Amino acid sequence: MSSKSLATPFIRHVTSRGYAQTAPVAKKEARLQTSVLPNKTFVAALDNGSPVTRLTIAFKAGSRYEPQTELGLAHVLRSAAGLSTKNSSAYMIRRQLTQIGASFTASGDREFVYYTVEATQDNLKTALEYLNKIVSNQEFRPWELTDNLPRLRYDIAALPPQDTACLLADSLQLSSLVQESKSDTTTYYGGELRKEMGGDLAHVALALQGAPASIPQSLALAVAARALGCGPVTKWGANNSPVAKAIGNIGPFAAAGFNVSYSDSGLFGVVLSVPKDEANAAVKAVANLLKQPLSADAIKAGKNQLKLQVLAEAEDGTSLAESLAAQGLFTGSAKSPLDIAREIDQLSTNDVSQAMSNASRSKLSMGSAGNLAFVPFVDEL
Amino acid sequence: MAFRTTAVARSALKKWAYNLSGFNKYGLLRDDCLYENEDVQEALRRLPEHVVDERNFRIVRAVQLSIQKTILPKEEWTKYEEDKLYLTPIVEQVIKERQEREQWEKNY
Repeated sequence: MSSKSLATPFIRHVTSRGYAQTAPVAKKEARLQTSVLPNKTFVAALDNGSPVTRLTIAFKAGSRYEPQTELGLAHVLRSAAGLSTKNSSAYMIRRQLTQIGASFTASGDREFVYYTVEATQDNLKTALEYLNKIVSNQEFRPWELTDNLPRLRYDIAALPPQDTACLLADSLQLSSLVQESKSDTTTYYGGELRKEMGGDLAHVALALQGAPASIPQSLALAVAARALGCGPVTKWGANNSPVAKAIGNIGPFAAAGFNVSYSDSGLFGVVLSVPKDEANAAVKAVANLLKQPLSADAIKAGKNQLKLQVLAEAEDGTSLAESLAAQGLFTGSAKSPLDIAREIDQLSTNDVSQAMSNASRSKLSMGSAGNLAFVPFVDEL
Repeated sequence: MAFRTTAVARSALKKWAYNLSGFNKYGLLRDDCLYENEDVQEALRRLPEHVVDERNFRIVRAVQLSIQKTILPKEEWTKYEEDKLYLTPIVEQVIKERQEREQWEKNY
């Protein structure tokens, strides 16, 4: 129901004020148990001793399962979570979850829709009951969907233009699953999509073919993406990453490597926001950088950064629960964050350079949004 | 047997009462005559657009006939058998939702 971007970290204030003197909790390694039920539902449970329990149900209902005639359906589906179902009215869902202090979110990506509820353990039973009522037997009453439209519009309009650029590059590469039901693999073609939106900035995503989530190369490419750079590490500090060095001193800009892995393919590259007048030089420099091997030091830094990112994201229970669900649907098994961190450690510099050089043999994809007056076309790169 | 005749008799009585009430001579349906309180207004919002348009047409026509102090020709009167309740089930649902809401507000 609620948008995650609006969630205030209220508990942070409470803990820093009220419980500043709490005794340190004894550390124990979280146990991860997985199994596949007879009805092919993948179940993963991670016991990390937290007093808050989170439960995510994920469905393969992301935007790539949309039929070509019903584009945007995944947004509507995600946004309709919490509306009346056959078992309970929207009003009761809202009030009951509020009453027990539970929080319910629905989020989605290109492949999956996630429904997550979090509640304290003594209220778990009611929370689960209502999660079940929310996800099963949805009724999609037309007037409720119409009432929901402004919220959905706001949700989409609030997407930053950088995301739009990434999505454009992304949509080139992931063809709709509905049409190609015959083949299991997605063919990567490369290409270009531009969305002229005006303004002073050009947001460009440059990408190469990445690796599917199930193979080790995806992790190597994730390291490479971090190694390329992810903005300055100190606030207001200088950006010292390879991608920032490649772009050089062109005034204020932002650039970061990115890597996304899906069930059958992936995308690896750089997303950058630059002043419109400098777009030509910057985009060409980044395209050049993507074709070149990274230094061993940069890769080592990338490994450390990715490890921190994985472990830090696992501290946020909701994103951990969603990530476990996604792993299960992608690969049929799930790994705990510590295992992933260990795997990152085991990657050699050679693995990462190998994965990068494999990727650089594919054609470039480019998605751009914003003021595109001086953004080069993909065939000029 | 007795039961069946009672049902038939009751149905005939209903039909007689329906024709006596007179709104069918203006071409109205039973649900067109509901008093538009908040529940009914909410139910109207939930109807498909063309159903609302048809309802509005019937009401405007009835007002026009009333102004002209006339009624429709007999073959255009609404028949008891053809008078389907298009709005009442939705109104009942709205009332149920409202009661659920009021019940909750009372208890919490």
